[in-house]
Amino acid sequence: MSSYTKNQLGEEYLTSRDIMISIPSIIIAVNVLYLPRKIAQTTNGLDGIVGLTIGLFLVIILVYMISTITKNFPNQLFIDYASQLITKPLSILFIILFGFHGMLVTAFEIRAIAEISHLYLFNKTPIEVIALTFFLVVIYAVSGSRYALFRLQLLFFPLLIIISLFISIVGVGFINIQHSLPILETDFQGHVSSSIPSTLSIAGSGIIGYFLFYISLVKNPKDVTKKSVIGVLWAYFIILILFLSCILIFGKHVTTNLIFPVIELARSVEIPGEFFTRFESLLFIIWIITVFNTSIITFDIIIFGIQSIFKKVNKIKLILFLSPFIYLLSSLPNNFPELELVVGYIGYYGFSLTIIITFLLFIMMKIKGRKRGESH
Amino acid sequence: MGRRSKRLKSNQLSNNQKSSASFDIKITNHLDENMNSIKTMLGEPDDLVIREINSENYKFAIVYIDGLVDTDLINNNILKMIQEKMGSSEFHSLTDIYNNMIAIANIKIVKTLDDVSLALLSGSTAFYLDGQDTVILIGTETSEKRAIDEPTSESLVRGPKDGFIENLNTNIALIRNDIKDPNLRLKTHYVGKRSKQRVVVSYIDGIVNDQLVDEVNRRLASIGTDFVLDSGEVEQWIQDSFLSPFPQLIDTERPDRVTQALMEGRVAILVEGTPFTLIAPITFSDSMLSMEDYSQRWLTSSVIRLLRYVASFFAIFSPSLYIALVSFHPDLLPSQLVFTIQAAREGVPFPAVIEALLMAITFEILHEAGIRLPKIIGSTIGIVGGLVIGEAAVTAGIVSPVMVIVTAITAIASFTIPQYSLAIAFRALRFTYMIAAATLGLYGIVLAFIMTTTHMANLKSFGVQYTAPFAPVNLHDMKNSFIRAPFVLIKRRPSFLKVKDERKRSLS
Repeated sequence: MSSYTKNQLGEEYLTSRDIMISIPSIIIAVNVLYLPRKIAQTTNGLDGIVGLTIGLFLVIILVYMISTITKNFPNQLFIDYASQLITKPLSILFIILFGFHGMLVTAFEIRAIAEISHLYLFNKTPIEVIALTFFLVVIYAVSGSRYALFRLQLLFFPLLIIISLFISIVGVGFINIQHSLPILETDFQGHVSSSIPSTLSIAGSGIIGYFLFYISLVKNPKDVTKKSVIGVLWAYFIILILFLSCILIFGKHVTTNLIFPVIELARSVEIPGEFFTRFESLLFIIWIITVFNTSIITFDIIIFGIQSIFKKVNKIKLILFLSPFIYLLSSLPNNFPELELVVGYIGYYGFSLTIIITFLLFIMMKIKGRKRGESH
Repeated sequence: MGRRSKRLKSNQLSNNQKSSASFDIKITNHLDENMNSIKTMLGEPDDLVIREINSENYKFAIVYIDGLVDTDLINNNILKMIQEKMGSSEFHSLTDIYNNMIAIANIKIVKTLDDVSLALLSGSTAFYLDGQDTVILIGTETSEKRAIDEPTSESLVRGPKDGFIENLNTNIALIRNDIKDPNLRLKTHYVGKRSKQRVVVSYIDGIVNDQLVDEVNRRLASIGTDFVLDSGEVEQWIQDSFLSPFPQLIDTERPDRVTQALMEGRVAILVEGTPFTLIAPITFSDSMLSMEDYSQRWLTSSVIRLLRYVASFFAIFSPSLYIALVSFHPDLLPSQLVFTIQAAREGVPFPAVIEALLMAITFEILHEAGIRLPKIIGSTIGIVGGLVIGEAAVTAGIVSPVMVIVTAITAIASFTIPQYSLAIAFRALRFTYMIAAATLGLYGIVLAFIMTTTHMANLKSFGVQYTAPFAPVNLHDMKNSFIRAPFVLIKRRPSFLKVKDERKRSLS
C-alpha cells in the first residue's frame, strides 16, 4: 500500500522548492519599483545596502520562525495548529486580520498597476477600466485551483529573474563610479529610516506571514526552513541589484526625484541594436505579471482563511461576494502619492501582524513543547 | 466532471440492459427456428448467405455475410472438410466438428443469438447443427485494407516511414513488431451502442501506473453514444476539459511515437477504422516535440526544439503585436521603423485591427480551402493565394506590405508545430490575442497571456498537470522538454507519469 501512495496520479501538493520560488515571486511587486527612491532619500551613496541587509536579517529570522512552526505541524491548516497553541477564537481573529490585510494589498496592487499603466502605457484609457480588466484576470485565476496559483509562480518566475538581470547587465555601461561615494557617511538616523522601507519590502508588506498558511500545503516540509531562507535571499538579491543599478547609474539625487526609479532605469539604458527605444514599457509589461503573481496570493489568502473557518463555503460565490469590496477599496486613494502613503501603512500593519502572530505562536510552541517534554 | 461521468455511466448501463434484454435469445434445438430467428433479427438482408445441407444423417447450416468473409476459406477449410469427413464414423456431435473438422484456428462455441449476430456482423461464419443448442463461430474475417503507407500528417526526414492504417489488427501488429515485451497489454472495449467498434487500450504492465489504466478504462466505459466516427470523437468523450482549446491527448499516425509513449509509461488508445491513435496523458511540451528529435543528434534537436517554441510565439503573437505596436504604442519601436511602417501604411483605409483581421481571415480561408480542394487543383490555391495575400492586396492599397510580412511569418511559423491539433488551437488563440490587442494594446496582450497561462496551469490530462515539467518543476524531466539532452543523461521515465519502474536504462 505504501508504495502506491508514492504513485498517486493527479494528487496535488507543494514542495519546499515551490515555496522557495514563490517567496521572491510573491514578495516582489509594485513597491520594489519605488523602493530605491525611499532608500536614497535618507542614505548617501551605496549606504542603503546596510538598511537592506538589516531588513534581510530581520526577515530571515521571521521566515526561520515561520517555517519552524509550520514544520512542526506538517499538513495541518493554520486554524488547526494555531487553535492548539493560542486557542481557537484568537486564531480566527488572526485569520480575519490576515484576510483584511490580503484585501487591502490586493486592492492597492490593482490600483498601482492601473496608475502605472496610465503613466507609461496609455493616458487616454480611464484608470477604472485598466484596474477592472486586471482585477478580472486575477479573479479568473483565483477561481481555479489553489495549487495552480503556485504553478503560476513557477511559470512566471524566470521572467522576473531575466528582466531584473537584463536591465542590470545592460546598464553596466552607464555606471558612474562617482555615484557610489560617499561611502559610510550616513548617520545612524539615516540607516534606521532606510532600513524600515527595506524591511517592509523584503517582507513584502507583511505578505511573508501568509506562509504560515501556505506551508501547510507542502507535502513533505522537512527542508522547508532552508528552502524558504534561500527564497528570501533570492528576493534580497533581486531588490539589491535593482537598487545598486539605480544608485550607480542615476546617483542619489536623481533617484530621489524619480517616482519609479526602476522603471526609469529601463528608460535610460539603451538596448543594443535599438529595437525597443522605450524599453521601460516592456519592463513594465513584464512587471504586470509579477504584480499579478502577488495579487492572486493576496486575494487567495482571504478565501483560504474563510474556507478554513467555514469548511462548506462555496468558493466562487465567496469570490464574487468579496470582489466588489476589493474593487471599491482600490478606488479610494485619489492619486499615486496618496496610494503610496496608504501602502506604507498597510506595510506597517502587515509586518507587525506577522511579527506578533509569529512570535506568539513560536513562544507558545516552545512552552507547550517543553511542557509536553516534561510530562513525558 | 465526476457527476457528469456518473450520469453517463448509469445511462449506458440502462441502455445495455435494454438492448441485451431484447436480443438475449437462446439458440434452440431446431435448425429451422434458428434460421428464422437470425433472419428476423437481421431483417433478411441480401448479403446474408445461409447454406443449408440436408442428408439422411445430419442437417446443418453455414451462415455468413457476404463481403465480410473470406469465401475461399469457407469453401476449402470448412465446407469441403465437413462434407468429406461427415460421412465417416468420426462424427458424433458438435464437439467433434469443433475438434476435428474445421481447419481454422480462430474458433469458438457460443450459446446466444446476440453473440452470433455480433460475430456475423464482424465477419465470422456461424455453423449450426440441427439438434444442438450451441453454435460454432469461425473466424473468417477479411476486409479490404490499404497498404501501410508513410504518415501524411506527420512526415519527417529521418525516422521510420511506416504509418498506421484503418485496420485495427494491422495497427496492433505494427506496435507488436516494435515491442516484443510479454508485458504489453491490450484491453478491448466495444464502444458505440450500435456500431460496437473495437477500441483497444494498450500499455506495458510493470511500467504504467495502474491508476491511469483504471481511469482510461473507466472513461472509455462511460462513453454513451451510438457510434464513434474516429479517434477524435473518442478523444472528446474522454478528455478532461471540454472547454479548453488545447488538445489533452496526442493523436498520431506513427507507430514509433506510440511505442515510445508506451515505453515511457503512457497509455495508447487504438480505435477501429482510423489511422489516428491516441496517447494519454500528455503535457504541453509533449505536443511540441517531433519524433525526429530523437533521430537527430542532441544538439541539433535541442536547437530545433527551441526554434519551435520561438515559432509558436510568432504564430500566436505576431499579428496582435503588430496591432498593439501600430495603433497603441508606436513610440515603443525605433523611430526609423515607425517611419517605414507609417509610410507603408500610407493610403491604407483601415485601422491596423481591421487590416490584420482581414489578412488573418483571408489566410485561414485559403488554408481551409487548400485542405478541402482535390490535390490536382490544390496548386491553384497556391497561385491564387499568393496573388491575393501578396501583390494584389498591397497594390490595391487595402493592406500594407508590413502586414503581408506579418501574415506570412505567422503562417509559416504555425506550420512548424508538429501536432496539428495544437497548431489549430494556436490559430484560434491568435484571434483572441488580436481582439485583446485591439482593445487594450500591449496591456491587453499581457492580460490575455496571463489568462492563457492560468488556464494551462489549471488544465490536466488524466491527472497529469499540463504544465509539467515546468510547473510542478522537475529538472530531470526538463532534459527532454524544450531541449533534448543526450540519451545518456535521460536516465528516468518522466516523473509526472508516476510510473512503477522509474529507471529507463539498466544499470549494467
